[in-house]
Amino acid sequence: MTRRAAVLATFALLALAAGVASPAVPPAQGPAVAVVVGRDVALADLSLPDLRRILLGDRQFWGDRTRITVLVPPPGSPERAVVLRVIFRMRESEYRQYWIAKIFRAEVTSGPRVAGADQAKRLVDATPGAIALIPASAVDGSVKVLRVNGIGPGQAGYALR
Amino acid sequence: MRSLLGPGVVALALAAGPAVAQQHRSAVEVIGFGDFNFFVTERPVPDGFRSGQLAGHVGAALTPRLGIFAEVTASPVATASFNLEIERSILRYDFADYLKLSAGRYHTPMGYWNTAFHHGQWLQTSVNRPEMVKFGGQFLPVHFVGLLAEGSLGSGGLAVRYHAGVGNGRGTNIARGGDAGDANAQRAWVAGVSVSPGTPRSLAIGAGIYTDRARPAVGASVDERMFDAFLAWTTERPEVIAEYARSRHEQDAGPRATSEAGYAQVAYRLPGPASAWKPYARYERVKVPATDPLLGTLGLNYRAVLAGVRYDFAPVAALKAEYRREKPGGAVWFETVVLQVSFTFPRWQEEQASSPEVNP
Repeated sequence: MTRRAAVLATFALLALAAGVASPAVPPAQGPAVAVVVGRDVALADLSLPDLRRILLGDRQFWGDRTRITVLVPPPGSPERAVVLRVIFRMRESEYRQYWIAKIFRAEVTSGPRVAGADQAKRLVDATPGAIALIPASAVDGSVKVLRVNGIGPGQAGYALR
Repeated sequence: MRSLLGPGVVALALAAGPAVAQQHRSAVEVIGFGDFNFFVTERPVPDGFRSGQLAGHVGAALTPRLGIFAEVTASPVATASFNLEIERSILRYDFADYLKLSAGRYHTPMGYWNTAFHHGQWLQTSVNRPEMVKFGGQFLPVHFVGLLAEGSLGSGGLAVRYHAGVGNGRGTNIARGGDAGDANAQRAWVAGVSVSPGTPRSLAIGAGIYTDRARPAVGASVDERMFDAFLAWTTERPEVIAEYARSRHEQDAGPRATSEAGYAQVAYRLPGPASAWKPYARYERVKVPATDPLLGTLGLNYRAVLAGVRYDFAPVAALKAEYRREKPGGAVWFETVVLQVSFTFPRWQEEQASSPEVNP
């Protein structure tokens, strides 16, 4: 049938063009990324699944019903690559599609906010319920560092690197 | 005039979005979707190019707990240029993760597809929705006007989500929700629960019920009790979505019948350098006996097998090529080939944080 042949030809042409739009794969390991919160957050440790739920917008409130404000590293930064690989398990393009779908489904009113390390520390200190991901090397006394699965950023077996 | 009004209002809303977003960058998200299609079909409908649907979504956090969501579409119709529709308009107050209360016009929270993809063709893998949840369809009441409570419970690796709502149910045009009031004094009730691991885009298994007393424009009122179950495993490698609905319709001291519908879709995003490509296939069926007092005369029986490939040629645009073999209504199978380009705009990126932004 002519129409069926046209279909096969279309699919074959599309297949020949494969590989053009392949995004880069994030590196297998990067710098340690610390999870920091304000001193008002009554937590010292988060499990990796709970951290995932927070950063993915599936959990939007702390236990005291304070809304969680998420600050993520800027696109292109080494910390961003770690976060995408370990937390989101997505490429940058998939991450964008994830948030577009989440916003469109009315599950959240907006996505995370981007902040570099210094800005993130200032905002975490000043914003009730904020949580940020910053290079472990940038941690100072202005913020509280959370352990992930009971392990801190400087310890062996830390998940976010 | 209305034909011009539709796309005009959508365009205005989308154009206004960035300006509003500049003033309250943390509080407003504006997203648009569009698509354009080419059909070659044996079905008795026109072939050729078809304008797709233009959809605009606005979400805004009015306070840290109060948000609004609105979705507007402009769709091409045969009798006019475009038809404007307010698809969703929701005001929601978030008490906590476990309780969010809202009022407005929703896509009925039954099953998976109807609330996972809405009107953005770019978001879904295939060209069109399954027949059982198609827009303008009658098997499932696509829209719901009323109140909804929803939330999620659990932590770590397992999340349980629930929803329960009361609303107007079907209008006298049973394809539509009762936008301007209920068609009778009996409200519709909807409830559902789903469980899923806490990891992103993993397995979700859910079930729901919907009850109403429908009053169609022609004929007597009909009690409707619908049950729906779904499984969605949306990891891209693979994507598996299956849904089944069973709807019991009964007239007082009159005919009664049960209609069924379902689909199963499988897709797989190719690995490595071919990751822009995502082949997919779907089987679907709608089975409505002629004795069904609500749906039996509407010719809703349908079977289809389709296969296609989605090619994400840009981060915000996809080309889909799809072949369908389908049997709508009668006993004849028809073949159709569709090419669709779908897109979203603007290219979404998180906003840069600043003090006023994170403290709306």
